[in-house]
Amino acid sequence: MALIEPVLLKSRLGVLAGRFDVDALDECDSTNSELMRRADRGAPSGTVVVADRQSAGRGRRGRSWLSTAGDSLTFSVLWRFPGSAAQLGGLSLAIGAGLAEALEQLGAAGIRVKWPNDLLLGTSDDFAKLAGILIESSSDRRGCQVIIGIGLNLAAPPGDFPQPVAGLDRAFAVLPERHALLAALLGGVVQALDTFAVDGFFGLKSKWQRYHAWQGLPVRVIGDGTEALSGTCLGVDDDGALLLATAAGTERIVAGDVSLRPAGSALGVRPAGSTLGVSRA
Amino acid sequence: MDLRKLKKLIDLVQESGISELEVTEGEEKVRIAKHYGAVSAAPVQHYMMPQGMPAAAAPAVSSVDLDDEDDTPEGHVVKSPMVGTFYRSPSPGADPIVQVGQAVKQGDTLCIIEAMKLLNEIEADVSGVVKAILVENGDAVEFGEPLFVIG
Repeated sequence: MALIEPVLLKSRLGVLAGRFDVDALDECDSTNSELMRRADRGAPSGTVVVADRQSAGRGRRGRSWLSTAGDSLTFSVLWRFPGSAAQLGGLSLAIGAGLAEALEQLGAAGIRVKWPNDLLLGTSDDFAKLAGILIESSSDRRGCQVIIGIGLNLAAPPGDFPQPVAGLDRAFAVLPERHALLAALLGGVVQALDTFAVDGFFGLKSKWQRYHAWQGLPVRVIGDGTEALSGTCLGVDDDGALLLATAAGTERIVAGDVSLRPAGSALGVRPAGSTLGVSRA
Repeated sequence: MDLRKLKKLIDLVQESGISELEVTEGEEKVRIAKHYGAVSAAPVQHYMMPQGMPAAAAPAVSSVDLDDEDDTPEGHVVKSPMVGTFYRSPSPGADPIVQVGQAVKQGDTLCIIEAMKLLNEIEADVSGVVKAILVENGDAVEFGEPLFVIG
């Protein structure tokens, strides 16, 4: 039996229960892929798939996402919006801000966001990756649909990783019970989606910046095939673009696979096959 | 300029984010604008679009010389719905989703455009054969930028 019991989750969701249709699986290839197949068959907005194990968990652009049953929480949410995909810019940041706030309200300490879509845990001298968000969208004449995949470490996975990783257990004296945690996270997601549907990312910008790990601090933005940019991180623009104050003026970073590091960090590993989209503000 | 070509140009402006399009072909000059506005010089013919169109994202006037059109095959142009990075394959090293010459059906995925870690699948809005792929894998694309020609 899966670790999440939908009936129990429903009671934890309270008034939000009606906005979600949750299915819990022991295992699937990836919750995003599973949900995408269900969406193709007409699953309604608000459908959630949570799985204990993913045999082919995915990060961005085919990178694998590792998870073990008890030590992580992996789920995906299907949501539909009227209108075109053009308005979805900044959604991954919006979801990050919603999750950060939900965790803080549960009592987690040290939760931060990293542009554009990671949740970090602040430790005494560094930040470690706590969760990743992967959003896949498609659109047609009726509007657009998004599949929001979230992978959260409850305990730090064993092994070596290119960047420090942490578990949520370090943010709490006692980790909340699994159903209470998932219900709180879904609450954060729906709140972010509701705000986003009305105001776009602008409605969550100040919240995002409040949790931003490097707000006002010197950073380096690394993209493959382009010069690393150094500057002071000014935060984000109304559409979610990263704003960097450099010697040449303010840069708006909108697209591409960028690696954001605090200035002076040794973690300057360049990701493979990446690009950096930069335009002058 | 024949009527079919004019109709095509009007459709192009209507579907795009641009507010005005000016085309010069030999002696003839056509200017298509989404909104009623200032009327320009005399021998120019005006074809106005109905009012109440969605606000244009790019107010700039684009001039197109039809003599250059030979490079791009005739057909339906699939444009980018967003600013982002264009990817032809779902993951680095994987085969491209579509190739030139491949038949696609309406609704088939053509490419992925990423913006701030939102991976957006771009679907074919018509059925046909991929005649041209207008951008390179990894290129930054703008809103309304032509990506594919399907004919």
